[in-house]
Amino acid sequence: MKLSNVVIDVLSRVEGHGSLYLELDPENRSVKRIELKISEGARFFEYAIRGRSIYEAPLIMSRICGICGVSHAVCSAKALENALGINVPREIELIREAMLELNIIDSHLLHISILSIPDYYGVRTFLELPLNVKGKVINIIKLRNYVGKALDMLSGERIHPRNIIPGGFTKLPSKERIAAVARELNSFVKDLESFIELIIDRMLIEFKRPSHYASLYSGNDYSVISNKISIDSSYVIDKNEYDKYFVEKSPPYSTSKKVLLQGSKNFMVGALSRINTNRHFMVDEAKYLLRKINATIPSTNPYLIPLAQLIETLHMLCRATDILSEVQTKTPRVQVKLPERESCGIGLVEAPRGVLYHSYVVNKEGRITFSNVITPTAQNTADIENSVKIYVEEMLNKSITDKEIIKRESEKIVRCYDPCISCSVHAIVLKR
Amino acid sequence: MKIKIAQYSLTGCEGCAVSLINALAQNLELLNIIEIVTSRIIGHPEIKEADITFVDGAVVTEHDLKLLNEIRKKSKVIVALGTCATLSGLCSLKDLYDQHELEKHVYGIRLPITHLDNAKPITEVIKVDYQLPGCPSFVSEIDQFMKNIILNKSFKLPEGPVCFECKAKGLPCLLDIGKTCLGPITRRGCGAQCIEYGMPCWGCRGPVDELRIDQFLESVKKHNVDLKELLKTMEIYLLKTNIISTVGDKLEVK
Repeated sequence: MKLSNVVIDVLSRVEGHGSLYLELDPENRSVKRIELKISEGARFFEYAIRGRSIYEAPLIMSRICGICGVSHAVCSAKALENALGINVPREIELIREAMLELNIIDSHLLHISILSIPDYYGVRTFLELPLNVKGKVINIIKLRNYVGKALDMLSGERIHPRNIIPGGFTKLPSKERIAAVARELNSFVKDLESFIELIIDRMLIEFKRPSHYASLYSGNDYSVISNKISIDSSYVIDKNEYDKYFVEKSPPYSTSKKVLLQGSKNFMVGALSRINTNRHFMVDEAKYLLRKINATIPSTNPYLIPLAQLIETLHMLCRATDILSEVQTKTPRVQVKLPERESCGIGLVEAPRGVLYHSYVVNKEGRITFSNVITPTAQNTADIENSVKIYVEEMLNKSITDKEIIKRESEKIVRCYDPCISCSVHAIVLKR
Repeated sequence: MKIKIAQYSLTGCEGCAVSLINALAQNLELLNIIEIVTSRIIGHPEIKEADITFVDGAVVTEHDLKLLNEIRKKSKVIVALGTCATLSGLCSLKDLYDQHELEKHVYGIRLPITHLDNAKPITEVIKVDYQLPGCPSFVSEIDQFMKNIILNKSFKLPEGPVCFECKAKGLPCLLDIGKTCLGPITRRGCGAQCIEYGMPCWGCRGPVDELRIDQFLESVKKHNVDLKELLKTMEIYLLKTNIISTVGDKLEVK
């Protein structure tokens, strides 16, 4: 039996350093081995944060990732508040929700307009797109620029926010300034809808594959902050049960961890999982679009992820605009009292690529003694490997054995998941 | 002939690469004058000859080191983009601990890739022509830099401390209320963004050219700033400078 290997040394148009390794068995039309290798250098954030103050933690943890910094900061603040036993008022939570939504839109539009769109038109970079498409893509880039401006205004800096602390915000701009930005944001809805109509048909690629999905759930909204996770829309677990259901493994070939459902099953998190779970809570415009496309939802077809990102972008743009136009900023934060004894806390948010988990132990002096971060991409890794494996086996069954085609199609699937490799490389402390 | 631009990310969060993309996205006309020949994010991962090469991230792995030396050979001008590239940034925080200990404790196994003993800023490894510090690097500064390059003008970072910008914006001084703000010793050019949003300066732009440490420490003592906390704040971005040891010696705190 002759084995043949397919190696993609540098995955391009993804965030971070990764490669893909496939060991094929063409005779039996199977993939013997698949490894999504993450070769990014480790920065050991969870260890390095030990001994530092709770007030610094959210903004240091934001530096785990240059795309989802806002999500890390909010998640960190939530986990620390849980450890300190404080609840923030609804107005603070709403501003955080809008920030998370803008962060998700910022990331999705980067993925669609620059990283993934060339795949739908058979070109290598977005610069080579046909003229009529390029025009609409430029509108989307302008929308993304404006979303960035809104985040800059809300948090000082869109990539690494400046004002997020446990208890709320160090400072917020006036509600008038925020409302003015909300009005501008709203003016982009039409451009977004017209772009979605243009590209939607190219995004519908059939691929059936059994898998599982998970996303935050509250039972009354399209949650980006919640203490509960829904799995396969069939059962709901509490954040304290996370490590009972989701188990981390350290593959020997990667600096990223793999998370498996119940210790053995691959599953997906992210835009498609959120739509699967919470689509009934989207704004009408997004629900209408979802009905219009010919896709069966719920689905675990990775080709639908970019499509789900776009529909979700429309929902979140409307939702963030609504929140920001009526925002109150009178009390930007609540008083934080240090704990009487060492206490632990967990925070969950929806980051652009799915459920993000932070946990900390805080001592009486308000310093961190332990931390753990589980990123969406670490949760998606096993599912990415599973999708590529099944797709390549389907190709082998159709007698497609050209390595270049296998490479290209495998890379496309990986890219659908929009993996965030900087995020997934981080230290997970196994023992205290 | 268009100006050939290359972009590489070593170990880091890649936020500075995103900043570069954001700067271009706000100025798409630039694409008539420049051509991006290398950028993994855009879809061209191959190493190519370039007129201007932006490098973000710090040198953390053997691979980073090898790649960086190769990049130098292919580039006419190299720009260190962001604090990881100029000061090794938050990549250095782990250097406070032993690498082998970290790997064992954290992953439970030895990592499959080789890490250097210490994270290094790229300026310590190769000759760098320009530095654009910041965490992340600032879109407005990248923009100004590009314009100067296109017009064949040189580029200089602004001099003087962050305090100048605080005063210009009329922001109240955080040192006055006992916060550990590094504004007086940090290069301006950020628009005092953090202070405007209520956070003290952590020094991501690196030290000012004319460092007045004694003056800074006097004002720190006058306002009863916690000195241990001050040194701890300096660890975030300034671990690779000699400021921490200078200040530690002068204050006699460790």
